[in-house]
Amino acid sequence: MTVERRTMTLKEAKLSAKRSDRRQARYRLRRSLPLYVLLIPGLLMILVFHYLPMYGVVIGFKDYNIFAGANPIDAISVSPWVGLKFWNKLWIQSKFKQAITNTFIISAMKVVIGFPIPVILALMINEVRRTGTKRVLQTVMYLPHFISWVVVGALFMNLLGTSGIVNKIIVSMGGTTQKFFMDNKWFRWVLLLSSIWKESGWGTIVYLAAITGIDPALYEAARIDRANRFQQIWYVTLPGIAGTVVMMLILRLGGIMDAGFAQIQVMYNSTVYKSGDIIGTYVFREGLGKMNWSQGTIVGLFNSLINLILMFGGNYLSRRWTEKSIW
Amino acid sequence: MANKRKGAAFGLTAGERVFEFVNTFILIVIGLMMLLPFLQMASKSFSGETAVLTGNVWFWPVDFQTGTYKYVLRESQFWSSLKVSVIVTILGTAGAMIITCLTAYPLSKTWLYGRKFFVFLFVFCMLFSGGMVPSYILMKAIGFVNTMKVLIIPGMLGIYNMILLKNFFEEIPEALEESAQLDGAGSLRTLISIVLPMSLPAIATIGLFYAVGYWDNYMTGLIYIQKPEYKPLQLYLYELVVETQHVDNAGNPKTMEALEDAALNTESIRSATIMLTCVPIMCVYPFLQKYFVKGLRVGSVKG
Amino acid sequence: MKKRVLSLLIAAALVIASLGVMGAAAAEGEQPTVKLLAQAQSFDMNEDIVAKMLYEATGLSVEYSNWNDEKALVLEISSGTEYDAVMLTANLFQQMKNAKALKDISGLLENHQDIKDAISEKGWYYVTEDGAVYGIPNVDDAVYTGGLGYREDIFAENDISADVETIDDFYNLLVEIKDKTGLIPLTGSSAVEAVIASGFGLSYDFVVDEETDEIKSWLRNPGMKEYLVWMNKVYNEGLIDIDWPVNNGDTINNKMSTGAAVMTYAAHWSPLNWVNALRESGDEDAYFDQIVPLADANGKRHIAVSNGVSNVWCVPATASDERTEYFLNVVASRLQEDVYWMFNDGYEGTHYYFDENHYPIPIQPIFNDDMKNGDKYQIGRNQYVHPFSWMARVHKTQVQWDAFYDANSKAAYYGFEGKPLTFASFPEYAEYYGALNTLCNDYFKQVIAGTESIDSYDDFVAEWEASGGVELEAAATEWYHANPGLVEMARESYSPYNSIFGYEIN
Repeated sequence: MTVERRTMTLKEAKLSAKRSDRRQARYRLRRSLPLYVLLIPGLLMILVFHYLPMYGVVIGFKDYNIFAGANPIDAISVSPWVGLKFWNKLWIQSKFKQAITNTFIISAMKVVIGFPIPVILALMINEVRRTGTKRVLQTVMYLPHFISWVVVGALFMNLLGTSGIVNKIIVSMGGTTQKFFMDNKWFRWVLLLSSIWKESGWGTIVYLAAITGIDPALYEAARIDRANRFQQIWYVTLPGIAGTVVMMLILRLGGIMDAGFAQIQVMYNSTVYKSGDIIGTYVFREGLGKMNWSQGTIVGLFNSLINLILMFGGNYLSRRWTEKSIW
Repeated sequence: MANKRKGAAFGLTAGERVFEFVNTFILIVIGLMMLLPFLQMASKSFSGETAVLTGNVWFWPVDFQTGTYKYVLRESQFWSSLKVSVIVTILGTAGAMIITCLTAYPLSKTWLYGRKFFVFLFVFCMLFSGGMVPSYILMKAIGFVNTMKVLIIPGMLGIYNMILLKNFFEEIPEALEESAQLDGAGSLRTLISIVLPMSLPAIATIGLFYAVGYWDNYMTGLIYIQKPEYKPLQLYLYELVVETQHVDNAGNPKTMEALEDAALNTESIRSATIMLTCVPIMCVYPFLQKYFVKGLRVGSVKG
Repeated sequence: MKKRVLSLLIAAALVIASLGVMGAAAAEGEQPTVKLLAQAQSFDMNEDIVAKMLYEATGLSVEYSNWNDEKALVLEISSGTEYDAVMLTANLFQQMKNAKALKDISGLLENHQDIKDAISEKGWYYVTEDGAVYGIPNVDDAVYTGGLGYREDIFAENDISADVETIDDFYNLLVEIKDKTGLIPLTGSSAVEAVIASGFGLSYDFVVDEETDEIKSWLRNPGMKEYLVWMNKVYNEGLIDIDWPVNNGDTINNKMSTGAAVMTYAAHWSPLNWVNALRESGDEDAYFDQIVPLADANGKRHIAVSNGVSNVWCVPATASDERTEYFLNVVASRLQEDVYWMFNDGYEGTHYYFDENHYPIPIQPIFNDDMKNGDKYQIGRNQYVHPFSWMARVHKTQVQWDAFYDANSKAAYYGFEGKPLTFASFPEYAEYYGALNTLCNDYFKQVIAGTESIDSYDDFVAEWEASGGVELEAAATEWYHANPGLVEMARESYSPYNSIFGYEIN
């Protein structure tokens, strides 16, 4: 008797839960309707400028000749299907594999070592009390972002070149001249250092904005608990921007396949291909003098796919571990 | 300000003073490392040609001159490009802020029906692109090629910026909005009157990103602009720098005549042009800095 | 509704406006504005003073646009363009021609004997295929841009002789410079430094193999391996700049201007800035002279000259005959002798004067101010005027003229050698040449700097063959056998400047 009653209630509960789920969904939908209206301009933008041209990816699976048809679009349908021909063509080239390895290594270095630096800088800047000093420091640190890689490259060449200041110091201290730009064991570090120098200050902006959102009452509470400055940073500021940090990291993962094309294109040379040639520079070099649209599309697709996997993976892990995610 | 007074009233311990000093000292060293190269470029732009060529210019102009600036400012292309860049940056940033806020706000609501789907739609097109062929044809079909529209409109929704803003919106306590909605405010009004005033630091950040993005963008112009009157400033700068290299931007060796002409385009002229193209956009940040003040959000809520 | 009315109104207004413009144009007997798409320039081609001078002189209205990105250009042309003519690099021209994207203008040219006469036969060969003419070529006359420029003053001071014949002489010279001055004897960045490579019997990357009568890459020449070994040796011994693989125009300029290096490749326009800098910083006697390519084992000096066709002005296949005719009118007007002088060099008496040898000598600074961009307005080169009007440009300063004269008078004595593939027009050339060239340069620099051992040479050749080298050689040979005259003409290299230096071609 009692058993029967209990199953009844369970059934009932499930049923009513389902009903209330549906009710809730209907409620959410009704509540969402006005928000959908706000989404319209954004959706239109991506529809027109991103999704409409998306069919261009079929070029990667055809032997595309832009002059084959009456116009380039017509040429897409006229060009013959070749399936995975260009995909396979990529993988028989040993230099492409080398470029992929380099891309991952350089990107990983930039994420592991380079990513935390703006966070630390932002925390440090936030601790400066004098408003004037703080503003000047902020302004100065974001200056390098505005200098193009061509100029930054020349600058680091002056600094780290064989007759640069660094080598003069090394030699005066009894060392031997290091060819930082021609030595595979140094080159990646040069890339890392210059990218940190150029972008770290700029990277602090997001975190500084996030810090402004922390409730000052939390700091007051911490002070009342006699927390010192380090403890305040650790227990109040850092948790306050953790969501932003995680989000920035996930977004960064979505850009792994570009290990810094603009930078490397300027700074590398043939003696450091083994350590510095990335997918972007390799494709650029190979593409010289020929117009292989299909091959280019395939490489783009490959990059997108890896970025997608990494970003979704990052988002998934973050949701599981930190309960923070982009979606 | 209020915060500073509170800190002073609280009093600093000796340990805190040491911390403050060391922290500021390290930051000043880092700051100098980032400032000096910029100073060097500024010095080069004001230095004599020989001094620049022989590498004698460090952080102060040698053989001070302003001829290079006069030279750059005399170039009509510089002025027309400056005009294009200013218009594009102002209109683009304004439009982008509107569309981005409108998009980020609904997506910041966890209860939005189909939220995951919509976010995915946006993120997906950040990662995948159909390439240049269909894009060019599209721009041509809608009459965007060789107009300022192509420099402004397609950039009006940066997915990256939109996600940043969405994240900031998510941190606003929902209770405040709900009270507004109980008062009968529509979602647009809630966004304008409650959410935006509370997100000024975020809005300033995103606005800065858009403005700098528009200003620095030369790729769009490189592809879609052929008429000199619509070339943005950064494209002009790009062409000036490429001109001095031995191969053109497609890697073809240059003709003798082109190289010969490029010899007239010296490093001090290039430095002056770089300075002139950087400075206008760098002036934006100090104006926005007042929004990066701790506690601004909470203060505005209480007020 | 409102919008439709509005757009109708706008359309009507546009039609009326264009009718009005056309009517006005017809009434005055003027032709409509010709729309030209040139390569990217860092100045506005419509606003430059030369554009205004040209309009005054010819009365033809021209509107310039500029392309920057090759892919965007191809898209623009293939999707039906509004431009009447486009300036293409030689490489793009070949690709577009093979893709049938260009208009055959041979029929329309029949009415323009003036254009046909003004441009040299060599240029017309380049743009003609099976009787169809696909563009207006900009022909480069054979000019020797320069060998290794060395510091004459330092050589004299240290009693060093620049009289070098063979590669061994040159090696001794490098050692002598290093021992006596302690400076960098030679700086540079080229994978193949022409002056040195000549000592190993190398001239161009593709040459006619006299034994088999086939076109062969210089990778097949044993001299290439010897050259690389030699370069690596002098690099290791510190006889050439340690920064060789990373150097660029700026770093080389810096080393020459500060006097850190004694010698480098010097085109005739390069030494000017160096000399000025050196003199201003106290080196009163600083001056440059030239070493021309070394003699190989057979005593032959390979003096490669830039000649051929660098750019072609083409009409898109979609253009109408009427618009093309307008374009050809512009071409014809610019090729007229007096107009050609005017937009290249300015006005006599204002921008230049003639010296006793009848060279145009620029009047500075107005020549540099006004005529700096004059050459960008060439559409085809008048073969009778160009060699002389161009003299103004090499006479911009005495230093430049001396460098030009030194190099060319020495080189002309030994005889120029033209590039066999100058007129190459087969599809494989457009497809493979650029990438193979990069592949070679990269490898050569790696060997020079020692990051790659010369033992890998055979593997590299195999890689080069697999990347299209075999196809390119085969196609080149086939093309050569079909068009022996074109290769003959390219190698012969008549230079109008020979008369200036008083030598006949060997």
